Parts: sequence; structure tokens; C-alpha cells
Amino acid sequence: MANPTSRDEQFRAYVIRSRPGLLRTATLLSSGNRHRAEDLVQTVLIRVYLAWRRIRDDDRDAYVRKALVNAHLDERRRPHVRREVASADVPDVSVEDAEPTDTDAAVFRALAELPPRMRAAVILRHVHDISVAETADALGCSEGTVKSQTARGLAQLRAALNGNASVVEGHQP
Amino acid sequence: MSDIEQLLRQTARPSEITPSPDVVEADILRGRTAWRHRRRRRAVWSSVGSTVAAAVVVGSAIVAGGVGGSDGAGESPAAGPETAPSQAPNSGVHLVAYDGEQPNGFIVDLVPEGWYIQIPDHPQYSLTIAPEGDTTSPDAFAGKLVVMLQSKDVGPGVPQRGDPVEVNGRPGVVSAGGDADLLTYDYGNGIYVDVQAWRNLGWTNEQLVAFAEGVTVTRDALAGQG
Repeated sequence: MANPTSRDEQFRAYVIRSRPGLLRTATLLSSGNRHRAEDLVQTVLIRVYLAWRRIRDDDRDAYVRKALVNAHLDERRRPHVRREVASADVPDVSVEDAEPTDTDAAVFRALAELPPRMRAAVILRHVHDISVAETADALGCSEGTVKSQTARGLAQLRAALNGNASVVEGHQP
Repeated sequence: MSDIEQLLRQTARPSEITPSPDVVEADILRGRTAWRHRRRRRAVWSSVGSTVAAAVVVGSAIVAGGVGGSDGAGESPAAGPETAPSQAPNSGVHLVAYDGEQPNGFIVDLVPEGWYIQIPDHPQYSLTIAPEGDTTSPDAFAGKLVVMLQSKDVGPGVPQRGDPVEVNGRPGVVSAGGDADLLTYDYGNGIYVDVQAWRNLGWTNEQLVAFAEGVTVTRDALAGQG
């Protein structure tokens, strides 16, 4: 049977498969700050690597969501992790700055107006389309809090983006 | 789907379907580096803990009026220095990452440099690691390193006698057999693992622990009997 033979090989396959999606979520959580998003992704992937043997395949997505949200919410962890892994061996990989469209920029500005936890709730529920219970697990809060946060978050986003009517109208399905 | 959801989902789309090889390798390298740092920190704290424990036992023995009493307490101070990293330079074992083929029952991250994993007929019971050039049967353990689940007729649990160690934060004991040392440790979920190392190679307890911390027991693994 085809069986990945080491932590590195399994992790490599995971990174290839999951990194683009992680970076996208991190970019939304960071309100369009691609450099901070890249930091978040790197931080999360280090945690995933360290915990690789402890995470079951079917728990991995939940683990990664929680790690990403925690890294996003807890600014203090980032410099700590940087100190931990500082090494001349690690090559600097440049962050590719995709040119954001006007619409992207408007959405990022609107997201930046939301408190970080509310922003995370909206992104998990309405971009990742995960359940209220899974979102509550990732955020470490009650399902009721998720419902209220996402309702208020969507309302705030709609109000902010309706001020730029062309943005919303230009993206009707 | 609402207009806002539509907007969010169309925003920050990944510019590439797959990350470049450089990006992937950098992620792996960061993970490995963090792993090495964590292992080094654990080794330092383990060493500090052993030294403190040894000092406490020595102090107690002196206060009690002698070392090496019949209750066996005198054996503990000697066990401390044995587990200190300073013993490592005397060892003939150098562990390196292993990326070759592995059988179904167990996965290891590290092997002694220049060694390879032998594929047995029944890989769910044991994993044997042998020096290059050793073509003896995987079921012959002399001079090799062996990983298996604790035998059903022994466990579950770690031996009462031996050097206590920690493997991934769980208890283990290194005990001496005839020609080999045996590390038995709690893997979690009620699973106990044996790592047997032939003593003539000069394994230290730290190296046995470092090796054991890279062992993954897969769902295919089975415990033997006898």
C-alpha cells in the first residue's frame, strides 16, 4: 500500500495541499496584510509539524483552524515563536504580493473594522462554511456567541460595503 | 449565498494552486528547526532534573549515614550521571533522520547513521533496524535495534526497576537485559512500547529516548505474546 514513510514526507504532502487555503484564510484574518498572513501561516505550520504525530488525520483540519485562530488572536505568541525558530538555516522566502483589486481592498478595509474575534467568526462560518459548533470550538467560545458575533459581523460588513455600492453590485452572483 | 459571503469568498483567492518547492522546503526546515530546539530544551531540563534528583538522593544517603544501603537507594545516584548528556560523546551511536521505506506497524523518524530498516514478514509485530550490510533475518535481534509493542504476557506498564525516563512527556524505564537495554514507555491510549538496543553500541538513555520520541505506532501494530 502506498504509505508516506516519514513525518517530513507526510508534512510535505500536507503543505502542498493545504498551504494556499491557509494563506487565503490568514490573509482574510489579517485584513489583507499579506506579510502578517505569511507569518501566521508559518507559525501554524511549525505547530502542525511539532504536533504531527499527535494529530489524527481526521482531526487535522480542526487542529489547524484552532491554531490559526489562536495565532491570529494572540499577538504575543508570534515573537516568541520567532525566537524559538530563529536559524540561519531557514531561507527567506519572499511573500508574493498579488495586486489586490479595488474590491479586495474594500473588503479588507471592511474586515479591518471588525474586532479580531468577530472577524474570525465571520470568516470561519461564511468563507469556510464550517458549522456553528466547529466555529465555537475553534474560537473557544459558546455557539451562542458565534451566532451573535457572525450576525453582527455580517451586518457591519454589509453596512461598510454598501457605502461602496459598486463593490457589492459588481459581485452579485 | 449572500452578497457579502460571495464577496468574502472571492477575496484573497490564492494566486497559485500549489506552493513553490522553495516555500514547501522552508516550511519543513522551520518545523525541523523548532523540533530540534524543543528536543534540546527537553534534554537540558532532563539533565537538570537528573542532576538535582541525584544530588537530593546523595544528600539523603549521606545524612542517613551511608551510601549503597540494602534498600537499593544507593543505586539511584549512579543512575543520574548515566542519563546526563555529557555521556553522549562516548557513545558510538549517531542518530539521523530516516526517509526510506518503512513497514506498516511502526514509523520511525530517526535511525543510527548508516543503518536501515529491515522489512519482516509480519511487520505489524516488530520493526528491526540493522547496520548496513547485515543481511540476517529481521527476526534475529542480536546487534540491532528493535521496536515492538509490549508483550501481552508482560504488560501493561513500565518495569518497576531501571532508570526512569520521560518519552514525549510520558513515563518510561530503561532496564538492563542480558546483552541489551530495554526502554519500555507509555505511548498513550493504554499502549506500551518496547525499544530494545544492543548494548555493545554504547547507547545512552538520552539517545534511546530521542529515538523513541520519533516512533509512531500505527493502527496496524499488534502486540506479540511470549
